[in-house]
Amino acid sequence: MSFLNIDSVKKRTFDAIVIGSGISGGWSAKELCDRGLKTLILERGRDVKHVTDYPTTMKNPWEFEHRGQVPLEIRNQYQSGRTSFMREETLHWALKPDEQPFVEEKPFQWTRGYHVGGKSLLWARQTQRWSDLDFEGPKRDGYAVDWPIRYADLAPWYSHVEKFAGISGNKDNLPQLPDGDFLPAFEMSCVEQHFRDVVGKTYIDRPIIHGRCAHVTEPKQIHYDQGRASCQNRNLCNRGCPYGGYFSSNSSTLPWAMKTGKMILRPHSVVHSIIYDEKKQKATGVRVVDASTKEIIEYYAKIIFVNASSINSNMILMNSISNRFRNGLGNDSGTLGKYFACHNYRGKLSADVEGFLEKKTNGKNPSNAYLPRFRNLYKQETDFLRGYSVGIGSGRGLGQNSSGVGEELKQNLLNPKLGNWHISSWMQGETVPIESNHLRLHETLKDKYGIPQLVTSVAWTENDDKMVKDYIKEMTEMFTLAGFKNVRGGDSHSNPGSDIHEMGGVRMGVDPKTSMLNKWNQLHACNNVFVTDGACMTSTSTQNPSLTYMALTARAVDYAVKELKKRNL
Amino acid sequence: MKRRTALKNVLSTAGFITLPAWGNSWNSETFIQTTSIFTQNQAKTLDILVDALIPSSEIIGAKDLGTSAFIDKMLGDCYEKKVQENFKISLENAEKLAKETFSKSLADCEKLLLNELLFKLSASVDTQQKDFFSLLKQLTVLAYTTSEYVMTKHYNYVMAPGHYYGCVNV
Repeated sequence: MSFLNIDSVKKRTFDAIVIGSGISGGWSAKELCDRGLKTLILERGRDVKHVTDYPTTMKNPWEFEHRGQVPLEIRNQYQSGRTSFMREETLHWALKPDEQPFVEEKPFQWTRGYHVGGKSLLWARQTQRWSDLDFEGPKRDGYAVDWPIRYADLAPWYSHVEKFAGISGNKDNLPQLPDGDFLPAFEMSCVEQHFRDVVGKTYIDRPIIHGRCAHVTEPKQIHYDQGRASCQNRNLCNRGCPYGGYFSSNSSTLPWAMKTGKMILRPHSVVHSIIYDEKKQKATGVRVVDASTKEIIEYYAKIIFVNASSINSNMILMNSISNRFRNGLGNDSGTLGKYFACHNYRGKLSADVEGFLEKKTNGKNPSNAYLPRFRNLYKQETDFLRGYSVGIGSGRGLGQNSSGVGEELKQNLLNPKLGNWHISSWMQGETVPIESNHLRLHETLKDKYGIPQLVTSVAWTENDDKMVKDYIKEMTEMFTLAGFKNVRGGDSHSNPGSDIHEMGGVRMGVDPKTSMLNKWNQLHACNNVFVTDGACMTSTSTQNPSLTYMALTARAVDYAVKELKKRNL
Repeated sequence: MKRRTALKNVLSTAGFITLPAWGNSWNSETFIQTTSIFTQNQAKTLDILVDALIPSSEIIGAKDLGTSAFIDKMLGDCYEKKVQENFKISLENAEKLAKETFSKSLADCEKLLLNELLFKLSASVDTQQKDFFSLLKQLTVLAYTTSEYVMTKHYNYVMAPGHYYGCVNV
């Protein structure tokens, strides 16, 4: 065992280890390296270099052999209907069929991004701050546990990450959606403006704004320094953006960290567990399975940041068993894997718009309009807890007319007519974390790396059903009020997880008896391990969570490094 | 792309300014067709039908944009065997239908007759024929409307607009 000799151990020893290179792992990397720590980034998937590893990003539609369709032979290798990115444009992001099977005790959609950059390459890029109406939710409404932080704790860190990532938006002056350090926002369409005006006049508490999103609309020096340029409105984001027009680890935090000379990136490293030293009473490193050779390798560091994505961070802690922690690392409370939650995206409605025929849009909008939560904002008003925000998109496309044959068909195709306007909306509901919605490791089944398989046991609750009904009722009313016709859609009954906003299982809290992490995202019971991805979330809010992961991560690193310097870790 | 560049060079030294039709077609040369699911006769029929669906005039039509090769590839790679077989038999049936209806081969039918034949197929009560026609048309329209020629010369396709204006005059 060559890794036992001293030289080898030295080579495998770092100041810090970050597990995962996605949206929060990238931030851990950047902040740790900026503070001079020699940092190892472990990523289970392959490397993806900014620009050069976006093979389809500059391809025109006619350059795809099957115009985007994936050949049957390849398609049949994947689980039908459960694998995302099954298009020629994005197939290289799809999870390999045998990579990580899991057991759905209850139906669950788990979308994974196993490559450097993770889902930060593939996200929807909406970045809304949370407010105290979110952080105080559990305490006010008596569910989960109280968040150990408030908005004021996070506000400077929101600014910190916003300035660097580049967030476009308007200052809307809303208590439920604090303003940030924004680059200019994208525009609303005529129809969205009309909708905003009508709804705004009728409902004083329903301001429709433009969603804040992680697109560089007017690059500042800090973005040029990252090698990023302005968003080109291509709306081909999930192929990877050669301009760095939207924020991803690949375009932003990782190359920044790499430039410090402090970062070492190790792809193909599937983390098995975190090593706990019973004598030192802290974690000393990470055990990795090399994805290609299946060799088990240990890496050591003073502090460990767990950013493996919500579910994987849960799994890693569960699989980190020692005499001290028989039920998973830091799991004195017994809450590990429990109170797992996501967002409720089940409600979707669209409608036809009459009029506005002299107007159209020009170019492409990578964002959308947004109605922040208005239900139960200041007090309980409905028969369900919490509420939902609403994304709103509208447009007017060229309608393809493929009627006729011969010269007639040709003329029809070559002269497409502007269609009518249409509008659509989708809910993003807060779900209430409950103990029974949980993750655990399977007792016998393992994956090809020898790691126990995941069991998901997460289901919608009556609260979620009621919320979907309310969304449909309220949105139909608002659409109708605005004169929109033929309102259609409803409850998609999609599985939990379809939102790709998995949260919780390693929640933050004040009391070590009922939570896993303290206010610094530090395991109560193993203080040199920090969990700053979605796993740490105590509640789910109605805002997209990524920006909050970034801010929590930057804040936790700042604290960890200060503690390290004080020799407290 | 190399071939097109080379072609351009040759043509410009020869004094031509514009490329021939196929030089502007979608880059079929980058997708080399090594195998075909069709017999020679089936392929010939497909060419005729594709050309009849979207004929060439001063504006290039489907056949000259490599649509038959595209359909061949799509059927071979993206459709079940059953669909492929139905498509092949239907091509042969189309030839038979021409002989029955017009007493001549498809190859000898003028535009009007071909159009008539296409309408016949589209209105057929035979599901096999109807399915064939709708798939033929669907793939022909897809090939045509996503070709480089149509997208750049007729649809003003721009990959990177560089802006979004939410409310402008038509």
